Amino acid sequence: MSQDHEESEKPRIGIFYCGGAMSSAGELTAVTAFDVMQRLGPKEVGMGCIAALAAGVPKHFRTMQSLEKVLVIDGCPNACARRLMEKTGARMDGYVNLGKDLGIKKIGPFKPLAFSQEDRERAVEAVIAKIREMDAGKAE
Amino acid sequence: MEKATLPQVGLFVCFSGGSNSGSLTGMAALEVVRRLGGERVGICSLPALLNQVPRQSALVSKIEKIVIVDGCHNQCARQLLASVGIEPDLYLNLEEHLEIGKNGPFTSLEYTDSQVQAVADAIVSLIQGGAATASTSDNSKRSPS
Repeated sequence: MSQDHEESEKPRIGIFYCGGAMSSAGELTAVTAFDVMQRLGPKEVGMGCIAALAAGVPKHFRTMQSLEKVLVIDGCPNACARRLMEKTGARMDGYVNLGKDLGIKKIGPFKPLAFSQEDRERAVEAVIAKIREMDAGKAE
Repeated sequence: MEKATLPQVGLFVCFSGGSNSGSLTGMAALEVVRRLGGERVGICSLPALLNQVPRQSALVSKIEKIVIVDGCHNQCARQLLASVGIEPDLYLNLEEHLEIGKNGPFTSLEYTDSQVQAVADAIVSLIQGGAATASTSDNSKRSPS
Protein backbone atom coordinates (compact mmCIF):
# COMPACT_ATOMS: atom_id res chain seq x y z
CA MET A 1 0.00 0.00 0.00
CA SER A 2 1.29 3.42 -0.91
CA GLN A 3 2.64 5.51 1.93
CA ASP A 4 2.24 9.26 2.13
CA HIS A 5 5.36 11.41 2.04
CA GLU A 6 4.49 13.07 5.37
CA GLU A 7 3.82 9.76 7.15
CA SER A 8 6.72 7.68 5.87
CA GLU A 9 9.82 6.99 7.88
CA LYS A 10 12.56 9.23 6.56
CA PRO A 11 16.25 8.52 6.16
CA ARG A 12 18.80 10.91 7.61
CA ILE A 13 20.46 11.62 4.26
CA GLY A 14 18.89 11.99 0.83
CA ILE A 15 20.83 11.24 -2.35
CA PHE A 16 19.96 12.61 -5.77
CA TYR A 17 21.82 11.05 -8.69
CA CYS A 18 21.94 11.94 -12.37
CA GLY A 19 21.06 8.43 -13.59
CA GLY A 20 21.52 9.49 -17.22
CA ALA A 21 22.24 6.03 -18.53
CA MET A 22 23.25 7.26 -21.97
CA SER A 23 26.81 6.71 -20.73
CA SER A 24 28.67 4.56 -18.23
CA ALA A 25 29.24 7.53 -15.93
CA GLY A 26 25.54 8.37 -15.71
CA GLU A 27 24.57 4.78 -14.98
CA LEU A 28 27.36 4.56 -12.40
CA THR A 29 25.79 7.41 -10.40
CA ALA A 30 22.66 5.28 -9.93
CA VAL A 31 24.59 2.08 -9.20
CA THR A 32 26.66 3.98 -6.64
CA ALA A 33 23.58 5.43 -4.92
CA PHE A 34 22.00 1.96 -4.66
CA ASP A 35 25.27 0.47 -3.34
CA VAL A 36 25.65 3.20 -0.72
CA MET A 37 22.08 2.71 0.41
CA GLN A 38 22.62 -1.02 0.78
CA ARG A 39 25.85 -0.53 2.73
CA LEU A 40 24.64 2.19 5.11
CA GLY A 41 21.03 1.06 5.38
CA PRO A 42 17.69 2.75 4.67
CA LYS A 43 17.57 4.60 7.99
CA GLU A 44 20.77 6.37 7.11
CA VAL A 45 20.35 6.90 3.34
CA GLY A 46 17.37 7.24 1.02
CA MET A 47 17.14 8.26 -2.58
CA GLY A 48 15.38 11.22 -4.09
CA CYS A 49 13.93 11.58 -7.56
CA ILE A 50 15.63 14.18 -9.72
CA ALA A 51 12.82 13.88 -12.29
CA ALA A 52 10.12 14.61 -9.69
CA LEU A 53 12.12 17.52 -8.38
CA ALA A 54 12.61 18.95 -11.87
CA ALA A 55 8.92 18.41 -12.62
CA GLY A 56 7.99 20.39 -9.51
CA VAL A 57 6.13 17.62 -7.65
CA PRO A 58 5.42 19.51 -4.36
CA LYS A 59 5.40 16.55 -1.93
CA HIS A 60 8.72 15.34 -3.21
CA PHE A 61 10.33 18.74 -2.83
CA ARG A 62 9.06 19.16 0.75
CA THR A 63 10.10 15.66 1.80
CA MET A 64 13.62 15.93 0.47
CA GLN A 65 14.11 19.41 1.92
CA SER A 66 13.08 18.12 5.35
CA LEU A 67 15.94 15.60 5.52
CA GLU A 68 18.99 16.32 7.63
CA LYS A 69 21.40 16.37 4.65
CA VAL A 70 21.12 16.22 0.86
CA LEU A 71 23.89 14.86 -1.37
CA VAL A 72 24.02 15.06 -5.17
CA ILE A 73 26.00 12.74 -7.49
CA ASP A 74 26.85 13.61 -11.09
CA GLY A 75 28.74 11.42 -13.50
CA CYS A 76 30.45 13.93 -15.79
CA PRO A 77 31.38 17.58 -16.20
CA ASN A 78 27.95 18.40 -17.67
CA ALA A 79 26.78 18.35 -14.04
CA CYS A 80 23.16 17.85 -15.08
CA ALA A 81 21.82 16.81 -11.68
CA ARG A 82 23.47 19.75 -9.97
CA ARG A 83 22.10 22.15 -12.57
CA LEU A 84 18.60 20.77 -12.15
CA MET A 85 18.89 21.10 -8.36
CA GLU A 86 19.99 24.71 -8.73
CA LYS A 87 17.09 25.50 -11.08
CA THR A 88 14.59 24.29 -8.48
CA GLY A 89 16.26 26.05 -5.56
CA ALA A 90 16.62 22.75 -3.72
CA ARG A 91 19.13 22.43 -0.91
CA MET A 92 22.43 20.63 -1.55
CA ASP A 93 24.77 19.96 1.36
CA GLY A 94 27.31 17.80 -0.47
CA TYR A 95 28.31 17.08 -4.05
CA VAL A 96 30.35 14.37 -5.81
CA ASN A 97 31.17 14.46 -9.52
CA LEU A 98 32.60 11.10 -10.60
CA GLY A 99 34.42 12.61 -13.57
CA LYS A 100 35.81 15.79 -12.04
CA ASP A 101 36.46 14.54 -8.51
CA LEU A 102 37.56 10.96 -9.17
CA GLY A 103 38.74 11.05 -12.80
CA ILE A 104 36.29 8.30 -13.75
CA LYS A 105 36.03 8.10 -17.52
CA LYS A 106 32.72 8.62 -19.28
CA ILE A 107 32.23 5.86 -21.85
CA GLY A 108 29.47 6.21 -24.40
CA PRO A 109 27.12 7.13 -25.81
CA PHE A 110 24.78 4.15 -25.37
CA LYS A 111 27.19 2.12 -23.22
CA PRO A 112 25.61 2.24 -19.75
CA LEU A 113 27.35 -0.83 -18.36
CA ALA A 114 30.88 -0.03 -19.54
CA PHE A 115 32.15 1.05 -16.10
CA SER A 116 34.67 -1.10 -14.23
CA GLN A 117 34.12 -2.73 -10.84
CA GLU A 118 37.15 -0.80 -9.62
CA ASP A 119 35.49 2.51 -10.53
CA ARG A 120 32.27 1.32 -8.90
CA GLU A 121 34.09 0.69 -5.62
CA ARG A 122 35.93 4.02 -5.82
CA ALA A 123 32.66 5.86 -6.39
CA VAL A 124 30.96 4.17 -3.44
CA GLU A 125 33.90 4.94 -1.14
CA ALA A 126 33.97 8.57 -2.30
CA VAL A 127 30.26 9.06 -1.62
CA ILE A 128 30.54 7.50 1.85
CA ALA A 129 33.55 9.71 2.56
CA LYS A 130 31.54 12.75 1.44
CA ILE A 131 28.74 11.80 3.82
CA ARG A 132 31.26 11.67 6.66
CA GLU A 133 32.57 15.10 5.61
CA MET A 134 29.04 16.47 5.58
CA ASP A 135 28.48 15.11 9.06
CA ALA A 136 31.66 16.79 10.23
CA GLY A 137 30.51 20.07 8.69
CA LYS A 138 33.25 20.15 6.07
CA ALA A 139 31.31 19.65 2.84
CA GLU A 140 30.26 20.67 0.10
CA MET B 1 32.66 10.45 -25.77
CA GLU B 2 33.30 8.09 -28.66
CA LYS B 3 31.87 8.37 -32.17
CA ALA B 4 28.24 7.41 -31.80
CA THR B 5 26.43 4.56 -33.50
CA LEU B 6 22.79 5.48 -33.22
CA PRO B 7 20.34 2.87 -31.96
CA GLN B 8 16.99 2.53 -33.75
CA VAL B 9 15.09 3.18 -30.54
CA GLY B 10 15.90 5.77 -27.88
CA LEU B 11 14.61 4.83 -24.45
CA PHE B 12 13.97 7.45 -21.76
CA VAL B 13 13.00 6.31 -18.28
CA CYS B 14 12.28 8.35 -15.16
CA PHE B 15 14.74 6.20 -13.14
CA SER B 16 13.72 7.73 -9.87
CA GLY B 17 15.38 5.94 -7.02
CA GLY B 18 12.82 7.58 -4.77
CA SER B 19 10.31 4.75 -5.12
CA ASN B 20 10.01 1.13 -6.18
CA SER B 21 8.29 1.99 -9.46
CA GLY B 22 10.94 4.55 -10.41
CA SER B 23 13.72 2.07 -9.66
CA LEU B 24 11.96 -0.51 -11.78
CA THR B 25 12.02 1.75 -14.86
CA GLY B 26 15.82 2.00 -14.67
CA MET B 27 16.44 -1.67 -14.00
CA ALA B 28 14.07 -2.75 -16.76
CA ALA B 29 15.70 -0.38 -19.25
CA LEU B 30 19.04 -2.11 -18.74
CA GLU B 31 17.38 -5.50 -19.20
CA VAL B 32 15.82 -4.33 -22.47
CA VAL B 33 19.25 -3.28 -23.76
CA ARG B 34 20.66 -6.67 -22.73
CA ARG B 35 17.88 -8.49 -24.60
CA LEU B 36 17.64 -6.43 -27.79
CA GLY B 37 21.21 -5.18 -28.04
CA GLY B 38 22.68 -1.71 -28.26
CA GLU B 39 22.12 -1.35 -31.99
CA ARG B 40 18.38 -1.75 -31.53
CA VAL B 41 17.88 0.17 -28.26
CA GLY B 42 19.88 2.86 -26.49
CA ILE B 43 19.07 4.46 -23.15
CA CYS B 44 18.98 8.25 -23.36
CA SER B 45 19.77 10.72 -20.58
CA LEU B 46 16.77 12.59 -19.20
CA PRO B 47 18.89 15.08 -17.18
CA ALA B 48 21.11 15.87 -20.21
CA LEU B 49 18.11 16.57 -22.43
CA LEU B 50 16.48 18.74 -19.78
CA ASN B 51 19.67 20.77 -19.58
CA GLN B 52 19.78 20.76 -23.38
CA VAL B 53 23.37 19.51 -23.51
CA PRO B 54 24.16 20.01 -27.23
CA ARG B 55 25.74 16.63 -28.06
CA GLN B 56 23.10 14.52 -26.33
CA SER B 57 20.27 16.65 -27.72
CA ALA B 58 21.65 16.35 -31.25
CA LEU B 59 22.01 12.57 -30.97
CA VAL B 60 18.47 12.11 -29.68
CA SER B 61 17.02 14.25 -32.46
CA LYS B 62 18.41 11.74 -35.00
CA ILE B 63 16.98 8.60 -33.40
CA GLU B 64 14.18 6.98 -35.38
CA LYS B 65 11.82 6.12 -32.53
CA ILE B 66 11.51 7.48 -28.99
CA VAL B 67 10.05 5.44 -26.12
CA ILE B 68 9.34 7.01 -22.72
CA VAL B 69 8.70 4.95 -19.58
CA ASP B 70 7.37 6.47 -16.37
CA GLY B 71 6.95 4.70 -13.06
CA CYS B 72 3.88 6.49 -11.71
CA HIS B 73 0.98 8.83 -12.30
CA ASN B 74 3.19 11.91 -11.95
CA GLN B 75 4.49 11.14 -15.48
CA CYS B 76 7.63 13.17 -14.79
CA ALA B 77 9.72 11.89 -17.71
CA ARG B 78 6.94 12.46 -20.22
CA GLN B 79 6.12 15.93 -18.91
CA LEU B 80 9.72 17.07 -18.65
CA LEU B 81 10.59 15.87 -22.14
CA ALA B 82 7.50 17.60 -23.53
CA SER B 83 8.84 20.81 -22.02
CA VAL B 84 11.90 20.55 -24.27
CA GLY B 85 9.89 19.57 -27.35
CA ILE B 86 10.25 15.79 -27.20
CA GLU B 87 7.10 13.69 -27.59
CA PRO B 88 7.20 9.88 -27.46
CA ASP B 89 6.38 7.60 -30.34
CA LEU B 90 5.54 5.03 -27.67
CA TYR B 91 4.76 5.48 -23.99
CA LEU B 92 4.51 3.13 -21.02
CA ASN B 93 3.43 3.99 -17.48
CA LEU B 94 3.98 1.20 -14.95
CA GLU B 95 1.19 2.31 -12.66
CA GLU B 96 -1.35 3.00 -15.39
CA HIS B 97 -0.60 0.26 -17.92
CA LEU B 98 0.89 -2.54 -15.80
CA GLU B 99 -0.90 -1.79 -12.50
CA ILE B 100 2.35 -1.81 -10.55
CA GLY B 101 1.72 0.05 -7.31
CA LYS B 102 4.00 2.82 -6.15
CA ASN B 103 5.10 2.14 -2.56
CA GLY B 104 7.23 5.24 -2.03
CA PRO B 105 8.79 7.35 -0.78
CA PHE B 106 12.11 5.69 0.09
CA THR B 107 11.09 2.29 -1.25
CA SER B 108 13.87 2.16 -3.84
CA LEU B 109 14.76 -1.47 -3.16
CA GLU B 110 11.21 -2.84 -2.93
CA TYR B 111 11.09 -4.58 -6.28
CA THR B 112 11.73 -8.12 -7.41
CA ASP B 113 13.61 -9.61 -10.33
CA SER B 114 10.35 -11.02 -11.68
CA GLN B 115 8.97 -7.45 -11.76
CA VAL B 116 12.07 -6.26 -13.63
CA GLN B 117 11.54 -9.06 -16.16
CA ALA B 118 7.81 -8.25 -16.46
CA VAL B 119 8.47 -4.56 -17.10
CA ALA B 120 11.20 -5.46 -19.61
CA ASP B 121 8.71 -7.80 -21.32
CA ALA B 122 6.24 -4.92 -21.62
CA ILE B 123 8.83 -2.52 -23.04
CA VAL B 124 10.09 -5.10 -25.55
CA SER B 125 6.51 -5.87 -26.55
CA LEU B 126 5.82 -2.17 -27.02
CA ILE B 127 8.92 -1.72 -29.18
CA GLN B 128 8.06 -4.75 -31.25
CA GLY B 129 4.51 -3.53 -31.74
CA GLY B 130 2.75 -6.14 -29.65
CA ALA B 131 1.27 -4.06 -26.88
CA ALA B 132 -1.76 -1.81 -26.63
CA THR B 133 -0.07 0.89 -24.61
CA ALA B 134 1.43 2.75 -27.52
CA SER B 135 0.75 6.40 -28.01
CA THR B 136 1.86 7.64 -31.37
CA SER B 137 3.04 11.10 -32.16
CA ASP B 138 4.36 13.12 -35.03
CA ASN B 139 8.14 12.75 -35.25
CA SER B 140 8.42 16.43 -36.11
CA LYS B 141 7.57 17.24 -32.47
CA ARG B 142 10.68 15.46 -31.31
CA SER B 143 13.42 17.94 -32.12
CA PRO B 144 14.64 19.51 -28.90
CA SER B 145 13.78 23.18 -28.76
